[in-house]
Amino acid sequence: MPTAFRDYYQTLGVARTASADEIKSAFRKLARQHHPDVAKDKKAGEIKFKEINEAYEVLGDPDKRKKYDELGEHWDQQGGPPPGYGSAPTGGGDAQEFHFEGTGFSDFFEQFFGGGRGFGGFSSEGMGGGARRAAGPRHGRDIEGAISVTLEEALRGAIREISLQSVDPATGQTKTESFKVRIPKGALEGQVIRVPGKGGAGSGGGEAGHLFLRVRLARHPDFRVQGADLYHDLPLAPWEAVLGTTVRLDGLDGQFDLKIPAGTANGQKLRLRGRGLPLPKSTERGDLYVVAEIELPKQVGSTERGLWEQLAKASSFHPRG
Amino acid sequence: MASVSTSSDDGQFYSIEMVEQITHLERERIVLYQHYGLIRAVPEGGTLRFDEAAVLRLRHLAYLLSEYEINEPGLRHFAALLDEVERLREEVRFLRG
Repeated sequence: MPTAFRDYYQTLGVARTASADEIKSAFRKLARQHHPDVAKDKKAGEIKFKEINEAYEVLGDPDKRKKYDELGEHWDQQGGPPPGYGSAPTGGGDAQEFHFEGTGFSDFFEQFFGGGRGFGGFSSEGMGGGARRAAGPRHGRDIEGAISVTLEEALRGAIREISLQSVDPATGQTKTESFKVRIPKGALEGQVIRVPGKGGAGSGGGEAGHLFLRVRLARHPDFRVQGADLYHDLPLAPWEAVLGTTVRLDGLDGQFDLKIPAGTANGQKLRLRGRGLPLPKSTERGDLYVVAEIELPKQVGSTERGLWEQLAKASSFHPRG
Repeated sequence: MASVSTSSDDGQFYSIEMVEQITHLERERIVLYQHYGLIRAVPEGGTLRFDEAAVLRLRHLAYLLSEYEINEPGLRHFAALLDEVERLREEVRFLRG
């Protein structure tokens, strides 16, 4: 199936030689600008936010970036990915080509980096030591793929429309099926959503396989996710860390003020209970950890330098003893 | 275009009877795999409940058992490797921010 090339460097506005930090910084800046909650045009913001996330999914991963850079020369040759890339049906039986739409990833990503695969297609007769590939009904292949879910969708739950196109290699016929997938409230990274009967067709009267979608939380410009907990890296000026301050933060539920205590150390985590993602099968939520990142001014004018020198003379703080 | 259908409900958990139906594995085997840690179960009201990840794992195991006759130590090794890969994948995504 025809696939349009995605220039991920162009999407993030970075050079092909950009460092990992430059790529991360570009991603965060763009993601903040185009996040659906703040974008002026919500629909356009959603589309752009997904493109940015996909670009960072590849360029932010050293292995995927390397493959992508190599792929650049060969991507449209021979009608398919080189060995070692992306979606490829596995397991026994005839290989059946398939691809998704609506998972939050483009066709290009699905083809080269999606890792979606079919497996299975087994007979339940002769299980556990019986005849391999027993004659009779065979269940259809299961299909496993990924679905990109924003934190907001995970927080509130959502319904997404997915379509699955499959090409029968024997007949060349394309079949497209659309269905709605419910993202449960409290969906966590790696959680599996099963869509019954939407896998490969069974044979000999066997039932169809299932579609299994693994949740991949879209990267957020302000939060990292670990389980149901959120982490927010908060840059602080040295005097803010020493003297304490109050900062206004954007949580998933809206803005709030946070008091930074005097004497906050670099890397110190301030725990805010119940401001994370919902816990499965519970009314409770995980926590939000605000991680202090003390940053130093890159340029110091003469007046500022003078003040720092005064402080250095007056202070009794000697970290090396 | 085919008709629209809905997936399983909010983070659905299944009884062992439903898991038997979906995976075509006998109850005793499901309990054994849970005992060995190949799948995780959530105790609820004195019974065991299984999530979609457990169903996916059992479908994988059923396939390996049926098509390749992989023995139980082999299945345990496979399951342990898959768990580690998923755990590492999540850790890397967290660290990369």
